[in-house]
Amino acid sequence: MKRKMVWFLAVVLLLSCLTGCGGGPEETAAGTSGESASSGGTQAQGLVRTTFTRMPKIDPATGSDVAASASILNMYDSLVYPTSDGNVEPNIATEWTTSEDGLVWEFKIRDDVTFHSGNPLTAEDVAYSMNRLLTIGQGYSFLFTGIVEKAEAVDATTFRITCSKTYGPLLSALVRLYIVDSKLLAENYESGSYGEFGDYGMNYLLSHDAGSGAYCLTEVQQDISISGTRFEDYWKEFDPNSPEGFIFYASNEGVTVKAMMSRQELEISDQYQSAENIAEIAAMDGIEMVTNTTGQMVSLWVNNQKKPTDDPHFRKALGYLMDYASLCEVVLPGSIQNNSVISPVLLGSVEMYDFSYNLDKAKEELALSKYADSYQNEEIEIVWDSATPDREKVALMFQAAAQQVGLNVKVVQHPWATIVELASSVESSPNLTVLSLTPQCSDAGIQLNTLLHSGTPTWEKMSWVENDQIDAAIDEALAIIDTEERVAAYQAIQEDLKEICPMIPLVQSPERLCYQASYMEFNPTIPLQGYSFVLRDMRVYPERRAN
Amino acid sequence: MNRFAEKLKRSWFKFAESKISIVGLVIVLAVVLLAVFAPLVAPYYDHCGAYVNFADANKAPCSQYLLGTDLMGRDILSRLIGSLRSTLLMSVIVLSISVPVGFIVGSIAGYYKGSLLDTILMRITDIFLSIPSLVLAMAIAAVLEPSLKNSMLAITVMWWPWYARLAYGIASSMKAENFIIYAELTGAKLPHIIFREFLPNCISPVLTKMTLDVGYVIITGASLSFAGLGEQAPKPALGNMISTGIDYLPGSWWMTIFPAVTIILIVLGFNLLGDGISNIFNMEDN
Amino acid sequence: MSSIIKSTVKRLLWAVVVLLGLSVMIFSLLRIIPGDPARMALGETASEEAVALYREEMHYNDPLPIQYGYWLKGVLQGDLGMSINTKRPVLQDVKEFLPATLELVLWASIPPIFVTLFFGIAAAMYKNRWPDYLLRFTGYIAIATPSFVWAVFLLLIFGFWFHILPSIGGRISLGYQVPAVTNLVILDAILAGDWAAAWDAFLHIILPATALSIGHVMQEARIIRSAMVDNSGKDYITMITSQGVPARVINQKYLLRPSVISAVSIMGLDIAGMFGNAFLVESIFNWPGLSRYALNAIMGKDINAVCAVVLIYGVIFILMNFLVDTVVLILDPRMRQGRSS
Repeated sequence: MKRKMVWFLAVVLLLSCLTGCGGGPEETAAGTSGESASSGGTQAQGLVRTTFTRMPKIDPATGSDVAASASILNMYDSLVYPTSDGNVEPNIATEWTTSEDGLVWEFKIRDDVTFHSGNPLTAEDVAYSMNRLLTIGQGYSFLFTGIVEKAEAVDATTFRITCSKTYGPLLSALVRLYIVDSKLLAENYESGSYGEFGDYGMNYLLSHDAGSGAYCLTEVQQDISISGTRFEDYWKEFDPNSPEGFIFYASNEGVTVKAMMSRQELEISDQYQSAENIAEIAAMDGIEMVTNTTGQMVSLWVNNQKKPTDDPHFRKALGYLMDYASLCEVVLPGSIQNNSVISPVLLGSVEMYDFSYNLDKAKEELALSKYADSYQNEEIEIVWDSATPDREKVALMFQAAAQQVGLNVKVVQHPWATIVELASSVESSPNLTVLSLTPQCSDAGIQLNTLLHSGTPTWEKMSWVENDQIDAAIDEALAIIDTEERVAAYQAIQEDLKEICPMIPLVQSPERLCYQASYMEFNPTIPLQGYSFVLRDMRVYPERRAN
Repeated sequence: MNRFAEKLKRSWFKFAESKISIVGLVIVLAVVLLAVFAPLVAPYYDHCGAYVNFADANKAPCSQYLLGTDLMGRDILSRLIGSLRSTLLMSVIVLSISVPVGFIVGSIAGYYKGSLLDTILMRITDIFLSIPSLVLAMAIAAVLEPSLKNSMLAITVMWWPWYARLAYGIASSMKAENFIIYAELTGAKLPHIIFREFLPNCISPVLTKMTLDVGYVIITGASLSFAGLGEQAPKPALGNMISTGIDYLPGSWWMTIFPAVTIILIVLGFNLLGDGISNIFNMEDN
Repeated sequence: MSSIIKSTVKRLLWAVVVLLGLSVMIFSLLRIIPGDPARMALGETASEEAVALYREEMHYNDPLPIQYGYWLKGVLQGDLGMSINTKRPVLQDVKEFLPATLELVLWASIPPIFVTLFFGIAAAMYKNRWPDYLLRFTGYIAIATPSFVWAVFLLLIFGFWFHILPSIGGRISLGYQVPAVTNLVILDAILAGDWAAAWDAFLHIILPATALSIGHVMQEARIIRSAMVDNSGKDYITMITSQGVPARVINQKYLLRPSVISAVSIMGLDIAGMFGNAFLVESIFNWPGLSRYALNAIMGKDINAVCAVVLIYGVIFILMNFLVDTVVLILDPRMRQGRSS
């Protein structure tokens, strides 16, 4: 009986080997050792691959976060282009004029630009892009809503904007007007809620591009990646060593990013990696770290309307509960303390606070607040974005310090989508939220407006200042066309804000990006969200790759 | 009294017959004691609360921190010990709610087998059983605000149907037995029949299943916590410690490996103990 | 025979009722969440008008039962609604992601059956000798280890320390183009005759599939072992042995088969349960499957996507139960006779 059993066992064993799952690790190990290095393959040679925290929205009318703007700016051309010193330079518009009253702007449009579809780019397309952005009402539309009354093509090479009020930062904002191919979209309308425009091509743009930019979209793998190749008929010159294509991955788990960087399966690692992981990656062979001071600031958004953060002294107390030295050295290395509600790189930013880690001062401020007797009983919630592990450290650090002065802090993590949703109403906005913000445009007023004005729609206003005087002051300042005067007005607003203390600025932290220095050049300089990833300015030398 | 002692002795004998059950008992006792005396045993119990110390962050195991520290500079050993309470509490609470609920629903449906009530109750049970429990538990836990309490609730919601089915099987086969019919004839009410007649007959299979379920509840709880749906920071939770640690593999392996080993040990302990206990019941059945 | 058909039809009808109940439950569960799905759908900078328009379009302003009506009507027409996360029809997402999960679960369930049999039989044969002890010891540990912990261990050992298996980055290496027929990459590659691609994809699936299956394999091996040991001591085995029935026949027909039957029903449940465990395993290995998609959807409160995945897994679970019953029916002559008489 035993012998028969052995025979039977042998058959089962054989079968399991045939199906490839029998022997466990040893067997598979032997078979693979030679093969695993081959991933990467020849097709990856001229690519630049990087990671973002989420799937980028690639429609210029819906996207506005880092991933989206990095994707859109490579596939589309903007009307004007940002420079590294915070100004704008001609791009699709070669020159522009303003009417006496500052309400009408006319732009000369280049006539030598073609879209990826082969259609020529005209002033019609520019006007269409602005109107589409305003109608859909998402993405960067907040920069123009309520200001641009009419966008039209005067002729094939003249584009005219009529504003409903004077608006100083208009040119800076037009950096974010990305031009879409109106004819191509018109061919791809599906049924939707925009009348004659159907769905305005929104569904089409989920998996295609309609731009004239340096790179064409080739593939969208939902929740995984988008990829593209060089647009050889681009109207600007390509350096021969500009990347041949790109892959932007839609997730940035640290372990994956590290492994891919070490195997040269990724050219640039994202800035949201934890300090530990960035250090580990930067120490790898052939990898270097570059920093781009994009004006990114990490701040505490404080709900000004919710108990107990509705008291200015209480808010000020929170500013003394943060260990800025640890923050700049350990948690977000390379950062410097920020003392204004807006980003310090913006023209017109002034020092508003002199916060330091000082529990006594915190107690003093708490004693001045209307919660002087009861703050021990209040619970404050601090929220952080679950895709950014370093922010948990900020939150926990704050919690530990708050505990020492008797404040009860609850740390909560949410995915970004939930934070956006919470930010949509004053009731749901948490007491405190640790977030970062990179200037969308180089004008300080735009940031003041989105952060503090009660009329803006973006998540950025989750401090809910709701102060009529501040609103009026911002409106007035934005209406000033003269730059110097406008900047002075911005400074005056910040002075007024000192007493209110609408939010707690923490640090300005540069984007810290690791890249494969052994076979690429990467030197981002433009201090705007997403502009670290201008592919055309990068250089890749596939022949220098190790394998 | 003597007979009880005799029975206990025989049970112990049967239990101890398998040495491995004793190993399980020792592990479980150790875990329970550690959980109860956590504040005394843990070298740095304050590391289980709001505490950060970046000077000691991300340290490999050393004499000061036996199992290393995490990114906030918190002692991993202390946090492991600190997480035991909520881990044990979870299985205790989940089982002590889902077992009675499941038993009552199942035995009522079984007693009225064939009636509309039976159909309704058992179809509701089927709805819960028609999907992998982790899937629905996650959906529930995510809808509610993520917290230890809500993850317990989510698991409880998914757990009672198994006991309902078990009790249903037993009750529906017993309802035609003579002693139930006699009880009915003497005017026994439903509660009497359920608790006096069905319950004693269900105890052995239900307890056997319970002892084996403790481990599964712990695994399910750890899975929810791994997804960020359990105990929230800064309080320690095993699943959460692992999911945080993964990003720092392979360099800082101690952040992941030690919590992983802890889960395995706890579940192993309860499974071995469960096997031993079910041996006792099997003996009684025979 | 007709009674089998009758009972099958009846069960199918009940399955539909259960699925409806499941959909009502999950639908109302997700719609009572405080919050504004329209705001989440349109993102961080959408204007109030855009949000209001979207809310109207998606019927979010209607009472719950009416919303359910719209949703159910859509589902019956093959429209699972739009996903908040991906902005695409959920059906399209499901088509894209389900095959990866199916492939993973297939590889985690079918090849391991042989391993299970091997271990189970080996342990039974060498009862109370070292193979048996080894199996019991490793079995205890394997069962006590959640699949996501297995995933972490495998990732660390084979992905990092020995670096012999791909541990990240999906189903196949960059650069292989496999024509999609079944959307099961390995099968497609074999169909296309591209053995290199098939091998590469196979290497990618080893770790996640192993992480998913290892606990189940040991569990079922244990069941087979104890069933075989129990059965071998039974009187009828002694009797037929004494009657001179060949050992091979006894082993296969009288020992293995009944033992396997008891394992099969557990296996069925386990396979269905893998879809749940796949939630975490897929996200650890970056496996682009429906479970990873569902986890993102759950975290992002993507209502339609969660409803769809829960329903699909419900259907799979119920089908699995049918399948198990059928297999048991085929394997177990007693059941066959019992049903048809």
